Amino acid sequence: MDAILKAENVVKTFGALRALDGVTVEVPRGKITLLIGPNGSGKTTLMNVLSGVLKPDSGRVILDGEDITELEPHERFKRGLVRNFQIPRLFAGLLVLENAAFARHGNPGEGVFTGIMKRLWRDFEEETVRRAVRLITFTRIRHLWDKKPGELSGGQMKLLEITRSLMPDNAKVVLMDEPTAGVNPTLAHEIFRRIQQIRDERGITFLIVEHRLDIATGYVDYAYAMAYGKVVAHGTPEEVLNHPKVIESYLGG
Amino acid sequence: MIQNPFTETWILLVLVYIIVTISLNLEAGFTGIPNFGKAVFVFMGAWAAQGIGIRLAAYLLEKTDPGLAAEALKHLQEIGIGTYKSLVQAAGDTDANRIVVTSYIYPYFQHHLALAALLFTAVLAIALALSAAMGLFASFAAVRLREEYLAILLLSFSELMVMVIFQQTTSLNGGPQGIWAMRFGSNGLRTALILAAVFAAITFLYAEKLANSPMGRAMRAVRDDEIAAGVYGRDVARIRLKVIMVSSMIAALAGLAFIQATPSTVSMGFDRVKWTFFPWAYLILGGMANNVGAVLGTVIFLILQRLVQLLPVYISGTSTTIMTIIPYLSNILVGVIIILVLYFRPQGILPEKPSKTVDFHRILVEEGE
Repeated sequence: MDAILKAENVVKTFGALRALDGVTVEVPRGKITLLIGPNGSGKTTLMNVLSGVLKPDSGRVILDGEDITELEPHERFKRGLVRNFQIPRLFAGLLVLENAAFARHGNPGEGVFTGIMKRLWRDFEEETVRRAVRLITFTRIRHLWDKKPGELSGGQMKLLEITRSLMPDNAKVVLMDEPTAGVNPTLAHEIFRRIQQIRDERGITFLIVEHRLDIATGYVDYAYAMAYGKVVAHGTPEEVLNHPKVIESYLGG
Repeated sequence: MIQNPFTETWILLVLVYIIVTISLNLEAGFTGIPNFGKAVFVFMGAWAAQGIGIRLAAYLLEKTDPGLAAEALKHLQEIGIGTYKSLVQAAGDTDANRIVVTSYIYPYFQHHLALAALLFTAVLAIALALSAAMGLFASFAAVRLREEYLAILLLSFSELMVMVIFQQTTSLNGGPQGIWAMRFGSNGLRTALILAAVFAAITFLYAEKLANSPMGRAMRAVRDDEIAAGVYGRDVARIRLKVIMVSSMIAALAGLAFIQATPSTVSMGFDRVKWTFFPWAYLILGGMANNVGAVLGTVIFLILQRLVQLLPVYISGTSTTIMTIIPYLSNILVGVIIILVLYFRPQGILPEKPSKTVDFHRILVEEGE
């Protein structure tokens, strides 16, 4: 398998709890991979280790052949690894449109001296805001463009969080933590169709944590299942969902 | 007779504090950097004219007019102050400083304007570089940690520098006796007013431009959620350091202007109450992350503080108990207003407003539905 992102034997403990107990995951390039597992199985911890928010105790994280285990989140982002958060971490003081615009990296106006020289960044910024407008139209929150995150509903925040993760033009891999939680089923299907569309158009790889298996399984190419900090099954979505260990972990937990 | 409370000295304070408060706004209001060490960065601007500037002036005098320098040293010897190897040494010495500065250096530079301009440029450059370096030095260790640690570090750093090191080291700034600073022009207050007005205008324009730039947006993002800002590719520590360095440079401008009017202020004159906590109070009242608010908070507060200060003039003849409380009323006023603002209007008089990098409305219209 051609894996763009790999976690090799990753261990992460919090005190006595082994949240990740030797996890190896290979995310196939250009595909949508689903990561499932009951609550507390280590999915979000794995997302945090992959994105660099947490450093593993041991094991390695490999992006496109490069060992990125020791890199900070912002350095991973520059290499094309983007993530969003299960509980949206939006910028409370920025408008919806600004939240989206910020997610594009490389703005030449982000310096204490270049910031005051508009001619250096006007074109880039114009293009950035255009992209942001197109994306919030795409995720159906355009009418909220001048609201602050505090004025949004939970579902709308989720949509903004998704918008942000689609914004970077250098994205190779997008990690999504429960993109459709709190979103109505029609919109949830729509989100997954959009993800498929982006996979096809931009060749972006997705690793998606999702609890709503009924919705997600129809859209994904590959799946991993975790339980108690270990990978218990992987394969096509059907194989994984019917795997005895997966059924046991959901029912027996 | 009742005097006009809003004298030139008061106007100078307003201008100087506008600079400090806006500088703090860039850090605390926009970027969420809790700089409780503002005083030392203001002091660095003053020290560039004081400990460094006056020696540099003495050096330039010595080089351009050795005869006058020799005459000055002879004068010091004759009146029994002491024997000095050079004018630079005399200028930095607490015993000789005042005579050297007022009788020789000030008049000399008033008559050699080109030289004075050169000296001013050098002092300005030193003030900016020194303060930026200080900001970097004070914060690089804690800038990656939680905000509380940075706040504690900056507060103690400022205290250590202003209250201990500079206050006790005679060779740096004359220690507790102090030395006279380099003053430009014949009227220190006027020079201070002109400099403060120019610096305040530049500071305001700079801060407004920055607030409405992609950098302003990045600063707010760092303030609102540093983890998300990091995940979206921003080096949070680097952004904080940049903002601290630039804000420290701006604070130094305030110190440089202020010392022109009060050239003999000792380092302790730049204490935490006046130069750290007051700007914080002005900013909280005016509105964090709003530059107009920072100006407004400063002006309102300074009007109130001035009126309170003048109470003895208006109510003279009342009991001595009241008269002894009055010097502290200004501080009490600051405390009371902060509590009231935080309780009833935590966003301040003028709340944060959205930034305008480009015309969002036009792009929304152009991009259709």
